[in-house]
Amino acid sequence: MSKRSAIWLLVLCLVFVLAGCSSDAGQTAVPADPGEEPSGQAENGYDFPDIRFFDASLLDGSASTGEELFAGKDVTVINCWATWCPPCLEEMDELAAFAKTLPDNVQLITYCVDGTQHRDECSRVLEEAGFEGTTMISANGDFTTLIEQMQYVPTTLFVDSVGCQLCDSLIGSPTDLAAAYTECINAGLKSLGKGTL
Amino acid sequence: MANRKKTPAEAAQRKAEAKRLGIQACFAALLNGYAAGFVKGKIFTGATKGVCVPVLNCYSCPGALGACPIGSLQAVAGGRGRSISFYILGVLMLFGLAFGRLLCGFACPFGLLQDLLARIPVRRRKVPEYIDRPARKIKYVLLACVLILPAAVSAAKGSAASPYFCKYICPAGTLEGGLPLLIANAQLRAMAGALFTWKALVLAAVIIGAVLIPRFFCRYLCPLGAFYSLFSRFALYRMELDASSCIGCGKCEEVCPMAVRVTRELENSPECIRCGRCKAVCPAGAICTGFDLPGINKKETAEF
Repeated sequence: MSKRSAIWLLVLCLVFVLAGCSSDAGQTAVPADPGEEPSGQAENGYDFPDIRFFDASLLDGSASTGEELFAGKDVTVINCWATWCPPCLEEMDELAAFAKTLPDNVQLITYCVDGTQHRDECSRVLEEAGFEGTTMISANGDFTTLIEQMQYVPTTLFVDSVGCQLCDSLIGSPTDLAAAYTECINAGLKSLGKGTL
Repeated sequence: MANRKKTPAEAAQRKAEAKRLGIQACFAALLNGYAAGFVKGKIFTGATKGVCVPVLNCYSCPGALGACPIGSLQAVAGGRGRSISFYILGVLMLFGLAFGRLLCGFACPFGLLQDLLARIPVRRRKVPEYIDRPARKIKYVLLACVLILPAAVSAAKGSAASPYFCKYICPAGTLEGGLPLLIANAQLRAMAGALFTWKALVLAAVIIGAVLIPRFFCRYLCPLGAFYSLFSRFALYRMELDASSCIGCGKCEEVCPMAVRVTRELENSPECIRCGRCKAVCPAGAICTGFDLPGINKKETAEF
């Protein structure tokens, strides 16, 4: 038994290894979400750089820039998420509902970090949640630096009309999303001397 | 007692154990070599992170250079595509076939921790067989959960599912990933809630378990050990007991951390982690180890 079985097993395992090599690279290096916390993990938000200069591709197929995206809004909330991240998906309904309550001078946009590779899934998730705002699927420049420093999704950033950080970014999915976002937005508005929500 | 001179046999045993401990420590350091990560509270994000290591070593350990196979399997299976990771299964099968549970005995950092805990001098009781036998099956149930649950949940709800073993059970993750990150990171500490409390309790229970019962986690809970145990019969690295030289003294069974009935079932035992303690203690030199390649097996070629 042992000799023949061992040879077959060896063949089978080589097939598996080779099949692994041929599969899409995005799948072989999926980061294992450690799930130590129910809603992702935290990182010091305050060392994130400002995000003033970058070009972005949007989910609807158009192109934009940082200046364009943030112009005319006192506060822009940027929720960074991924299609493989369960806590991100779970908060999406709440996020979409919150976005609809915002006044004209505050906007909420999302950045789907794997949106380029998984465009359809990204659209489906946002559609199901009823999110109607802007979604970026790739960005370069200052955003590249930011993403390199970002260790967890969801991470939510709060910037002013030129992309400067207004408030410590939120790491993970807060238990009460609306309250946590409102607090950060108000801190931002206050520092700009504007009326709070 | 303390000053009693060691017999040559005891000295040889200690030397063998020290050597194994050294190898285990080397693997632990090698797999978690990004020391700066512990200070900064940030996990390593270099290119080697895409490499699946063959032992239970948390991806989210700040120092970890590679990815844990159990975490990766679940992340891929529970991902949007509900794929099977042929890469990870292939790596595990390759290592399983070559080394089997030798990896548990010599390479696994969580095995090292348990071996160190087992050195704490407390009175250890043997686990009664009617508890021990069924409890050892738990790890196979957990392995099945690792392989099936994320994919099943993901299919049911139509979007990515969590790696449930990592999230709710894995004490290696709490120790290597959760704790160092919390210690180094105030924002994370503020976020730790009920789930972290649960996981800390699991870790505490496993640590106490490992003090009282050597290799507690490996015996009863480790899904990766369960996977490798399926290869014990086929692995190229083997341990054999020469029944004709065995004098039946039973010393091997006394020292075995996995409580394998060495004199009866060493060779194909799925529980044996190939740590070699039985070999070192055997006064008759009846136990041998080594790579026994199929086709060049001495016994089989002797038939010609």
